[in-house]
Amino acid sequence: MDPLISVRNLRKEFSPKDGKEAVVAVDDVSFDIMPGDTFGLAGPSPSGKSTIGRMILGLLKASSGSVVVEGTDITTLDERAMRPFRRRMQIVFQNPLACLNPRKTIGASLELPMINFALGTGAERKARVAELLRLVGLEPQHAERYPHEFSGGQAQRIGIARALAADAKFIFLDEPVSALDVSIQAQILNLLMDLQEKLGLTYLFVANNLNVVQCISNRIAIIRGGRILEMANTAELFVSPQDPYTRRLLSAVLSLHEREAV
Amino acid sequence: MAAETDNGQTLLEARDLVTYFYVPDGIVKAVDGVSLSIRKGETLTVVGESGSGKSVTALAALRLIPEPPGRTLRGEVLFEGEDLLKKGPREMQAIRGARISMIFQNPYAAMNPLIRIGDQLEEMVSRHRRVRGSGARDLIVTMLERLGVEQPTSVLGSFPFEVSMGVNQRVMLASGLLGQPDLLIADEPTTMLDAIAQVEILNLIRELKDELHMSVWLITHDFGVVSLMSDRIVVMYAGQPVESGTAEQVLKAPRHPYTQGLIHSVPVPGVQARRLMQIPGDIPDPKRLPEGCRFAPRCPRATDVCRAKEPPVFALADGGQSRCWLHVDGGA
Repeated sequence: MDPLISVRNLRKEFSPKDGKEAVVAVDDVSFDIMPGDTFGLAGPSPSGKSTIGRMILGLLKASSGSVVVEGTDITTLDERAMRPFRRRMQIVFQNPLACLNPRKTIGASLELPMINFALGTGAERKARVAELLRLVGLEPQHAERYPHEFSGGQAQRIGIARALAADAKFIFLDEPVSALDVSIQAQILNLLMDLQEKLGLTYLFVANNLNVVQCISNRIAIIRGGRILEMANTAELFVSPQDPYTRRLLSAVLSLHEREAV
Repeated sequence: MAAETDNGQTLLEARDLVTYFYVPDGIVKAVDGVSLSIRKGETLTVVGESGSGKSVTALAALRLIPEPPGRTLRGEVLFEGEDLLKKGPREMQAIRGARISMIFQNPYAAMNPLIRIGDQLEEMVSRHRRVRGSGARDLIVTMLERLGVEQPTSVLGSFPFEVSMGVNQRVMLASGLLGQPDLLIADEPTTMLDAIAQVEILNLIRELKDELHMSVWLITHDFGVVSLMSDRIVVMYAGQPVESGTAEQVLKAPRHPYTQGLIHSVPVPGVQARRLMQIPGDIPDPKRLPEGCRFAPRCPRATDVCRAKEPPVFALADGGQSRCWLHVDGGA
């Protein structure tokens, strides 16, 4: 099977305006994401995790290297050629309220991606909004409400619905549960896993918390200082970590059974 | 470790503490009948989600709630037998920092950004230990070294924004410890740190608790942290303790359905579950708490009694407590 996304030798430098030395945020990063998989990027902040995701979506321009999506290197595309990819590749943010206009109803916000890509008639879009809300575990009548009327967990469900509105196939999940309470975190992780199964989605999952990353990812890259230190299938990574920093990181993951370990 | 403190004396005891916030659209019942006790030399962990009242309980005990909008309506906070809620402002100032100190999640917010780190720590030492000048500096440098701060003298000459989050967190811990308190209250002390720095700080708190003969009142939402740190645990939900007991009891055999749900919804390292256990529904709005048991709308075992009548705290045979009707006849 061919990968959905191939990242090769990706690099990002940020040049400060005051003439100081450039900051290398991402340095020679390569990996493949297979269709239907969840690829996890874990590491301390700042390590370049989100920067990689943003370059994959074409939200940030890579300094060098390539991002090949279904055979096309999207780093070379102009805005017009990029549009079909933007429809298929979406993002879910840590703070869902940041992606929702506080003065628009949820229904209006969910309709926007469809209007942007000229999908369906007005009535079809309304029906699709209702379908999206049900898909993420909310009610169709929630479409009439405003973002501030929702709890953090509900808002994240809406953020996921927004990402799916124009039929995305690939979603960059940028710390999607780190602002949520424990009981809500499990709900959202379960929802993401259910949607992946139902819709055949491919995920890039980025988080600080290795414990959260491993529960949803097939494959994990440990990243630090913009470089991938180690990459392995999730089960292997936990059984036989190779890199010394990975080993330290894994031993610092606290479980419910710390008392026996001490 | 638990055995050492089992028959220990009580250092602080909160009894039926009630603190509300009066806001324009209602009353936030942030702390609504909280009782807990901390013994000498032990770590008591209060675990809960946002809005559970875990932080407000500690702030109310230290009399740090802004009035208005807040008000502590009832209860007692006995510290070595004396009720802190009856103390005057000056008496409280003498207690805070010297007898009881508190550290927070965000060290940048806890430090004054315009004053050098060394001067801030010196103020702590001169106020609470009556040592000034080079004597104070020596105490501070020794403490920072103990906390694993490299090049402590250069850190002392820096402003908080010039050092890393991890160093700032150690500086705040130092400021909490330099007054030689009997009780350290640590409110989510490692939530903003990466995993490796988190474990380092938590281990330091464990070691220093014994070295300095302190008790620790830890506040967290993270069950990994709970498991590493606790002698005893209080689980809070919607302003009330719902379960308490030894770490062993609460983590291994939780009795309250909320604790059971929370513990099972935490991903297990190295185990890829296709589904996590989850608690349905949302944390209730503290201005519109449900009738009866506050957890009933989300509880898989709720019955008509639960929805109609608020459960009292049941004392369990093993010394633990649970606020759940399941225990009404000593059952479950």
